[in-house]
Amino acid sequence: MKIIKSLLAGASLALVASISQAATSGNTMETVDPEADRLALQSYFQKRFPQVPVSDYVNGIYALDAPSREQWQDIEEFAPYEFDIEEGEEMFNTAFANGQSYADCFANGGIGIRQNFPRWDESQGQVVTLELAINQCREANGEKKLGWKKGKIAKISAYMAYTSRDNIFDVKIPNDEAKAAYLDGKRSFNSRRGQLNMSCANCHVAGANILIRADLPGPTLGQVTHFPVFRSKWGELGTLQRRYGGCQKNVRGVPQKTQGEKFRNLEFFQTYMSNGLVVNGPGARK
Amino acid sequence: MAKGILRAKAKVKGGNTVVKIMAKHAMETGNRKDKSGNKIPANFIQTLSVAYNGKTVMETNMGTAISKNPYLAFTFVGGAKGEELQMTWTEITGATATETAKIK
Amino acid sequence: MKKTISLVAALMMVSGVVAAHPFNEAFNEQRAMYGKGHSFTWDGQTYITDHPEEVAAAVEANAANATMLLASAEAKYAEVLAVDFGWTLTAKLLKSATKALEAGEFRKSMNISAQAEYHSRMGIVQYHQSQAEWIMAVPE
Repeated sequence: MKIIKSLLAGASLALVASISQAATSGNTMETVDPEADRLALQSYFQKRFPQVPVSDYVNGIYALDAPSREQWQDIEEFAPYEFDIEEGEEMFNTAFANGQSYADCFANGGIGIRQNFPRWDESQGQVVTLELAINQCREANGEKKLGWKKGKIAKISAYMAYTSRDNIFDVKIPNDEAKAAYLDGKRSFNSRRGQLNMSCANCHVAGANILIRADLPGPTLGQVTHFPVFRSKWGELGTLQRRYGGCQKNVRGVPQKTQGEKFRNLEFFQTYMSNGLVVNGPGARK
Repeated sequence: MAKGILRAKAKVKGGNTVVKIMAKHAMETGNRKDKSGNKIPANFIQTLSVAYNGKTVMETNMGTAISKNPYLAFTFVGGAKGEELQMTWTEITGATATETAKIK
Repeated sequence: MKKTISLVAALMMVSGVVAAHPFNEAFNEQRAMYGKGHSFTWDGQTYITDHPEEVAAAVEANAANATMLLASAEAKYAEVLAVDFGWTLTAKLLKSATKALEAGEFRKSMNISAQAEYHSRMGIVQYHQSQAEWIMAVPE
């Protein structure tokens, strides 16, 4: 309790003064330019880590930190998510009670399409993530929704990611409404929250590869390409939005709703930032 | 051939063979409780042995301390590309099976 | 006292005050160094390192006040949850405050309620900052 009280005193919410980093394309519908943002992010990391090619960022912190890269490569030799891919494949190929299957809901039978998600769905007027599409497919075919964060949905998503490995992320922003969703995600990414008053950007842009307690946060460039992820801490597979909730709890903020509008827009923004990089899911991380 | 519970990768390196095996197994200790508070019955791999050319090259006694989906890696002297390894596992329930893996 | 309180409250609510040494910073520094209830001067005026919630809790410790402060803290928490900027510790604090109230520990309950309400108010400040002045963390 004592420690927390002093944190309260120290956490200054005084704004603006400190950060002098130049603004990117902007924070309004008129001034925001997603492509400029994306390229600015790449150039930011290239300046900080000149030896690391942009394509390497799909490996997250392991692209930047040599010792953890070694350990991770050892793990990847016999990746802990291999069983999950097998189970995911089985589930994906099992028909629903009504005879339809996942393949009927997706382009190309659901194979090799991970790189197009999240996508702006015009008819729904919202961002659709892969996990949302999976559950929408289930409900449309009379099946119950799966839990959003782990277990079956993660395994199916892992299989679909696996079939898309090496495809290049190509999230599209087709109109102004989609751009508004992108802007909303950008805002979320840069907003401080929680008792620790930190934003995603604090740890994953400025704080990338800088020790926070005993961990090194990964860079946000390429951060979402390897999901769903087998996280050693979880001892199992989990989805991106499972981690979103976890991260928000890490800064002592009540987590926002999984697969709610905020998280979907955030995923939309984050994935767009990784356009041009390859799908390498599912992945293994600490 | 039905898939067993073992996934193995074996590679020749110099005069040795490096073997990595992952077993798909819940490794229930018998101490965990389910949602109703009842103990989940124990079911874990007790022994796993690997043989090459009729000779045992590795033998482990596992137990409750080994967690889910055990992964082990070891090296033995000898082994040749294209040859087979015989991997035999035994559960405490008495169930047992032998699976094979090719050395690459 | 009242004038000081409302000034403190007002200045603490204002974000993005572009002064050489913004009030919030000065307040937090003074409080970190000297703790609660300490007088300091800023921009020619005297202030106290107490949060508005703590000032509000500095009344007689009895059932009525404790109940009122707890209700106020819970209302604030509902407000911050409605804008999605709640803090995780707050719910536990509210539970603690409720238990203390039930056990007749009014002072304890009132202090915890004050802390809980502070959390929620800060969360709401974060929400407004997120809407209006979020920092561009991606530099050129």
